[in-house]
Amino acid sequence: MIDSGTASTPETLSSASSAAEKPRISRRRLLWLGAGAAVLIGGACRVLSGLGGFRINEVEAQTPAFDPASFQLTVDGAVETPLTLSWDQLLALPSVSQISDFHCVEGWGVKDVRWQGVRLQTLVDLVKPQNPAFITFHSLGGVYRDSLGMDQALLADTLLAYHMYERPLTPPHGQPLRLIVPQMYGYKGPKWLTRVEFTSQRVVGYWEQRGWQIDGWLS
Amino acid sequence: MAGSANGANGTIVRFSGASRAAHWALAVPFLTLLVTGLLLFVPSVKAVHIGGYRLVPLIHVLSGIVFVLAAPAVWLAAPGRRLLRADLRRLLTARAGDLAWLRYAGYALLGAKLAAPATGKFNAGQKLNTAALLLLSLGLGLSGAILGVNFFTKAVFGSAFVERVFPLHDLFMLLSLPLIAGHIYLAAINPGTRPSLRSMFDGRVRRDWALSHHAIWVRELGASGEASPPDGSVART
Repeated sequence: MIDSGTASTPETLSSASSAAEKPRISRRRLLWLGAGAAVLIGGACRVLSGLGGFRINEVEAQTPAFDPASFQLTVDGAVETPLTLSWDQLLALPSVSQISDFHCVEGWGVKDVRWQGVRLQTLVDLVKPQNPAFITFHSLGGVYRDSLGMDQALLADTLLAYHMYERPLTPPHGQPLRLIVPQMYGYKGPKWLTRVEFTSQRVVGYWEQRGWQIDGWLS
Repeated sequence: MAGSANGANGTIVRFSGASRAAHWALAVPFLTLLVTGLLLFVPSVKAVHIGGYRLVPLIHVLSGIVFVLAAPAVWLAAPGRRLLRADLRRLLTARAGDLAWLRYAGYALLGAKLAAPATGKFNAGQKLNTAALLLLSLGLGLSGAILGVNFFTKAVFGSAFVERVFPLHDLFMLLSLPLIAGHIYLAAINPGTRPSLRSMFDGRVRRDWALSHHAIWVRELGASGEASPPDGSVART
């Protein structure tokens, strides 16, 4: 059985609530709700503005730490003049700025990233390679590495970057130095670089050992 | 009697087996997608891999395939499809009183003490939530299908196209987050609405709770007599 008195129609309730039941809301509650809404809207705008930005990928258990006093970039292998550069010596090399798109194999990309750093060609000129076919890039953590053919490594826009958007790289973005190869997916550009090794044989990179494409050209 | 509107211990049937199956067939993969999708923002978790496949992205993509296939599978397989269709029709049909309920809900959120307008089987909030989540699921499913294909092969879509789709997938996820959070809160935590949670498990709700929250629906059940179908839907004349 239905108690028809309980189930009144929406129309009657609507008119009842507008006339007999005048809604009353306290000023303090309104203020709190307004402040809460402002925080929520601010947070949402911040999150929305982050859409289309960088995602962080790393295979190290901990983000490698950078100490400018002890950092060294070793450039060695099949070269005439092996080289070890301190952080200050690296910064003293001729630097270039470039704007290039960044593409990740996961499907996201960032347009017009402003990088600053040293062209790989600058290091090549300093160490004078003895006709090697490949260059391997080693990360500080000792886990990640990848290699490029000489022709790939010497593409005009290949860069060893230490600045991103006019600021030093942050640790998740590869501080102090990362390889940028705009024409390939990001996994071909190791972060936290500490060694550039010239070799006659290709050293297969971290993900390529696990089945990924050796050449990371964009599709 | 399971098939009647008035059951033992003062309960009535609210959801048929088909409606419950459809809900859980979508909810389980959706929640798996949500959790694995959020874990993609934790680099150390995302890096865990088996062979060349990273585990969390792989589970995310596989759950996406289940999610996309779940709705048509339930639709085709559920024995009580008619009852599921009846629930969907009620959820997606506006009726007199929906505006009054929204007005009440707005004031209630602002802290005003008002009597709730009587509603049918679903109130306007449930209807809006369903419509919004259906649209967002469509967006997530379509964008996710493109990203899923890209996960397995780069030969189908160009990177420029995929990179346009990627932030849309994120946007749909962000928009669905508060809806899902609100739905779970009202279904499982909020004392006033929590009593209906059991209806997604055994299909039933307490009759007194139904009277206070969905009075028009209960009245319709009563009007149609004991022969009401198990979801409480009413034959339209």
